[in-house]
Amino acid sequence: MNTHQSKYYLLSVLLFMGCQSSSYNWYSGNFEEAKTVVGSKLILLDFYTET
Amino acid sequence: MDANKEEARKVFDEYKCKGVPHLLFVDNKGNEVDRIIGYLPPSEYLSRIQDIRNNKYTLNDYLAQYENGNANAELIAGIAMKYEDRGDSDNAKEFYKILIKDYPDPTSEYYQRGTYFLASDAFKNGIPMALNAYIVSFPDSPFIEEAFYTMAYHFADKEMREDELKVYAQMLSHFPDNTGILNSYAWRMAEIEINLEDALVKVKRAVELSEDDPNSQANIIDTEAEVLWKLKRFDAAIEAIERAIIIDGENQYFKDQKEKFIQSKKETGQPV
Repeated sequence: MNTHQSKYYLLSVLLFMGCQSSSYNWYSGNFEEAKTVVGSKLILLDFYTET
Repeated sequence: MDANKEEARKVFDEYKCKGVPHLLFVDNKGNEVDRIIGYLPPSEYLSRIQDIRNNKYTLNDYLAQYENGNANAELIAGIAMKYEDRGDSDNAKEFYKILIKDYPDPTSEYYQRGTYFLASDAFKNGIPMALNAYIVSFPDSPFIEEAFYTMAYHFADKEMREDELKVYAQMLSHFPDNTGILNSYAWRMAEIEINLEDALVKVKRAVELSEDDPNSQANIIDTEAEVLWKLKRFDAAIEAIERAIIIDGENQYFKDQKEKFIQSKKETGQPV
């Protein structure tokens, strides 16, 4: 296996830093929708791979 | 959400991301605030997130400090690296040039990173000797391995097979006991079906050298099995992948590999 290169990309979106809560929920819409509802929060995009 | 792979790939490319895991922080207009590339220990990860939340150590923070006249090598390198992470080569180049001109310390990792970036950029923009010159000029640089990989992948993308093989030969000569390089070479030779006997020798060496790291060794044994499969030594390939499965029995990829080898053996009419 060549572990130097990854092949698959998955994406999860988290609306981030809305309050001081220590837990956050993954957003159930897509990235474009997240931008319209996020306001002054930040969006965290998590790219990861499944092999 | 768990987005489908097509959407993920589109956003990944849009933000010029390279490598996973990759965490990207953006505002409501889609402007990047910062990113975290690769794995971090939990405490460091939490600390980075707190910093991003407070706009600390972000590109905007660094640029504000720079504009306020607080220039120093660390700050300028920090700005260049933030641009580099974003795939903004022009701005990265500008700040690395400032760093090299104003803080010319060849023993500094910032300086070495800057010179490597400029050499790599020149290589990608049509100066073929740029990275070889870098390797000769900075033999102790921590970026030598990366320089070799940059050349090897570039030549692979351009299907410049002879040049690619020369780079692998140089790499192996420079790093004869580097398990990652031995493994990458063997896997690549299996992909392009060249030098398979040599690849087998090299990957077996990597398996020996990785005895203290079973997870890494399992992946290298998988490469050994792949090379054996390309050599049509199906029994040996099956035996090898079974060794990988003993180390990591949960790995579905290894199990799929075993099925692939068994199927190939069946297709030759040999009893399984």
